[in-house]
Amino acid sequence: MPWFRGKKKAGNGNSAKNKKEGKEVPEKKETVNKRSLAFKAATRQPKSMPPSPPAKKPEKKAEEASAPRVATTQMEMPKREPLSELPWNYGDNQIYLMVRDPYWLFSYWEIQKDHQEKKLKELGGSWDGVCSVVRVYDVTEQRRNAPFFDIVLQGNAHNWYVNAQPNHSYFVEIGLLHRDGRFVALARSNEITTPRAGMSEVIDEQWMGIDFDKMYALSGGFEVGKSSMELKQLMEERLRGAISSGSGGVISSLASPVKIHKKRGFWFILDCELIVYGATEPDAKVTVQGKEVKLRPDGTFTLRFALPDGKYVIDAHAESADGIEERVIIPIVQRHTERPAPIFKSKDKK
Amino acid sequence: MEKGLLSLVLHAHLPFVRHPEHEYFLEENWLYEAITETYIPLIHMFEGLLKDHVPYRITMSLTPPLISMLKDPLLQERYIKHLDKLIELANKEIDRTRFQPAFHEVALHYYWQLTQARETFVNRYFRDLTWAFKKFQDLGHLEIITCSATHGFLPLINRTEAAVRGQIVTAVKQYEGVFGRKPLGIWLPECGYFPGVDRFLKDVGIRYFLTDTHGILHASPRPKFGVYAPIYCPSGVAAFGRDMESSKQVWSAVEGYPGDYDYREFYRDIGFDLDYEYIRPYISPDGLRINTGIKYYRITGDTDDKQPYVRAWALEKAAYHAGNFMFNREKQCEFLHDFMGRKPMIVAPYDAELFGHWWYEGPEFLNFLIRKMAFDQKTVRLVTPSDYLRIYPVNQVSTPSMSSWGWKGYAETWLSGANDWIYFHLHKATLRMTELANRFQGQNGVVQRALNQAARELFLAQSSDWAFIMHTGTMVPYAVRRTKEHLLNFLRLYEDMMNNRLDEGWLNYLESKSNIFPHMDYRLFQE
Repeated sequence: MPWFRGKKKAGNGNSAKNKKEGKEVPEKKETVNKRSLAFKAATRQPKSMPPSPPAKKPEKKAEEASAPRVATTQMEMPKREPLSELPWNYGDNQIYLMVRDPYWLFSYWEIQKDHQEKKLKELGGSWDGVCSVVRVYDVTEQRRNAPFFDIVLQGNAHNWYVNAQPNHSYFVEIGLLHRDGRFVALARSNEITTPRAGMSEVIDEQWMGIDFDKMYALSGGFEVGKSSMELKQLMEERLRGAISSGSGGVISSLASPVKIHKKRGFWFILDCELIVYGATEPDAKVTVQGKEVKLRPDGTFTLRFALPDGKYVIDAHAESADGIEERVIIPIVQRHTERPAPIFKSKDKK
Repeated sequence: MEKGLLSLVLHAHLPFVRHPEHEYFLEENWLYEAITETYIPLIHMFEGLLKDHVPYRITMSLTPPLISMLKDPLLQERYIKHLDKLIELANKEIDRTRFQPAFHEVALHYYWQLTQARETFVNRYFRDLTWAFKKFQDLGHLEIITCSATHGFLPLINRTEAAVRGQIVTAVKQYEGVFGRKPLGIWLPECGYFPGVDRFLKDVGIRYFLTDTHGILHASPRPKFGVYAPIYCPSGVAAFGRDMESSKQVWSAVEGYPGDYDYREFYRDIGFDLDYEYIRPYISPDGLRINTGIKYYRITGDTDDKQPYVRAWALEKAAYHAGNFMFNREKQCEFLHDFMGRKPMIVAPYDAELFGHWWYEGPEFLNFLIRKMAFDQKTVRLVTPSDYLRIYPVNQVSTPSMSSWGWKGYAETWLSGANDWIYFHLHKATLRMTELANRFQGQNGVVQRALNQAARELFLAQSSDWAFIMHTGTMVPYAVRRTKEHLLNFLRLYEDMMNNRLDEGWLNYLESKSNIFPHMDYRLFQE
C-alpha cells in the first residue's frame, strides 16, 4: 500500500485533504490543480501515449538543489538519444485474452495489414459487406461446436472488454465476417476460465459435516463483493493515491471526514508569529525567558514564536563574557484577535 | 488450552524508487516516511517485547524492492540527510511553540521520536534495517515471508510461465541472501492468486501464501471450515484466507479504530500549515509544499476546528482499542471453536504502512495487543501460518478461486481503462525476454550483463504499483513514466542485442541506476 503504500503519500496525500479542507491551505490547492491537469492530459490519451516528459521536472529540481552533492549521486546520462515512445506495432499477428473478474474479460490484439489483406482474399478480396469482429467461444461445455457470439469492432480498436459468465471457459478469435455468414480468423487467443462468483457446487465427501452456508456466512462470505467492494471503493475514492490497494491508504482519509460547511467555498485564515531578534558581542551569553539563545558568529540572533492571543513578557538578558556586565531588555507583547461576523455584499453591487 | 489461533500479517512494501540521477526526488520520500513512521517504530516495538520477555509470533512480508532500498547505500545516505533536516525542524518547532504548551508537548514528542529513529538507524543497525528484522526472525518471534520480485500482479503478467517463475525465483533468491534461510511463505502481490500459481511456489519450497476471503470461500471443492482453516492447493501449498471481521475493525470507515477522534489527524501537516518562508527549507526544493510528518492536531471530529493532539489520550485509546480487538477475537474463537470442533485460524493481514504512517498510533496498538494477548487471556494464541501447519498438518485439498484484495476483489484495479494499455507491451517484453535468453544463452561479459539488465528492466516495468497509481489517479505521470522508461530500456537492449551493437556505456548507466537484484540470472527466462 499503504503508502504507502499511497500518495499519495508524500506529495499527493494531501489531495484528499485539499478537496475537503482546501479552504485552509491555498498553496496546496494550486499545486493540486496544476497536477490534476497534468493527470488529465496523461489519462485522456493513454492510447496514443504522448512522449513522456520524464526528465523535465526532476532536472529543474536538480538545478535548484543547493545542498552539496553526495559523490554517489553524480551520474551522467550517456549522450545517446533515448527512445521516446513505445511502438504500436510489434509486427505480430496475435490476440490475447485475460480475466478481469467473474463477469469481464479483456482482450488485446495486433494484426498486420498484409495478413489481413491475405485473409480478406478468402472472402473475395473486397471490404464490401465485411466487418472485423471478435468471436467469443464459450468452451465451458464443449470444445467442438462451441457456442459463440460476435462483437463487431468499430474504428481502430486494439482491445475490447468482453462480458462473460462466472466459472466459464473462453477463447476468442479476431477475424473478418462477411454478411453472408462466412468467417475467417486472423488470430486465435489462449483459453481462460473466469472465477466463480459464489460457493463451489463441488463437495468433498471427506470434508463434510458442517453447515456450509453457515460457515460461509461466518467467514463473511455474503459480504464478498459487497462489503469488500464498498469499502475499497470508498478507499479508492477518498484515499486517492495510496500505494497499496489493500487496506492502508484509506484510513486516514476515512478518519478525517472533513466537510466543508461553507456553501460558497470562500475562506480566510490568519495567524500571527512573533520574531524577536537582536545582537550583542559574539562571546556574550544571551537568555530569553530564561533559556539560552545560540548566537550567530557575528553576535546576532533571531527567535521566532507562534503568538496566540495573550500577553507575553519576553525578558532578555545579555551577559558579557567576563561576567561583569548584564543588560536586560523586556519587550511585552500582547495579541488580541477580534473576529467580526462575515459580511455578505449584494451581488449586483459592483 | 487455547480455543483459537490468530495470525497478524503485516505486508511491508514500497515500489523501487531510487533516482541517483537527481539530487532530490520527491517520491523517494515514500521510503523515508515509511522508515521513520512505520519500520523503525515496529523495530522499537520488537525490541521492547524482547526486553520484557513477551512471547509472541507475528508474520511480516518484506518485499524485494523494499529490501533492496533498505540495503542501498545511496538511499541510506539520503535518508540520514532527510532525517537530519527533520530533526532540525523539530528543534525549531520546540522554540517556536513556546507560548503554546499543547503544541510544545507535541513538538517535543516529535523531536524525541526523530532522534530515537536516528539512533536506531545509524548506531544500532548501521543503516541497514533488514538486520533488525533478521534478528527478530532469528530469535523466533518474527516470521518474514517474501513476495514476488517487484510486486508484479501475477494474474495479469502470467503470459508465460517464465514471467511468473522469474518473479518468484528472484524474490526467493534475494530472501535467502538477506535472511540466510528459505522463506516458508509468500505474500502474493495484492493477494493476487490464479489457479496454478501455487505450482511455482511449490517448486521453490514455499509452503503457504495468503489470499483474500473469497479466494478460499469460492474454492472448489467447498472448504469445510470456510476461511477459518487453510486449504491445500493440489500442489500441496497451503492457502490462508483473510478474516473479514478483524480486517474491518482496523480499517473500516464505520467501525474502524483509526478514525477515533483522539488519534492524530493525518491531513494537517506543518508543511502546508505554516508560513512559507519558515517552512521552505523543509519542503520540496522547487518550493512545492509537501508533508513534513510534523502534525499537531487530533482528528477531533467532523469539524474544521481541529484541536491539538494529546499523546497521552491517544495512547490511552490505543490500549483501549487493543483490548477491544482482543475481546472480539476471544468471542470469535470461542464461538467458532464450538461450531467447527477445532481451533479456528484467524488471519488478519494489513499493509504494514497502515501502522504508523497512516494510523500514527498503529504501532502502539500492536504493542498493547501483543502484550495483552500474552498476559491477559488464554483463549487466543498468536501464531504464524507455518506454526498452524505444524499444529494441524492435515487440511482439506481444494483449489482457491482467482482473487485479489483489491477493489471488487479481482483484477479491475490493475486492468481498467486507465492502465490496460500496459499489458500489450509488458507481455511482448516477456516473450522477447525468453527469446533473448534462449538465443544468447551461455554468453559471458557484456552480453550476459545486458541480458541480466533486460530482466531487471522487465521486472521493474511489471510492478503492480504503476498500474495501481494510474488507476487511482494521483501521481499518474510518474507511474506512466516509470512504466515506459523500463519498457523502453528493455526494448532498446533487445534491439541492440539483436543487432549486435550493445552500447556498454549506456549499459553501465542502466546498471548503476536500476541496480535492483545484483545477482539477477536471466536464465530464469529460458524455456
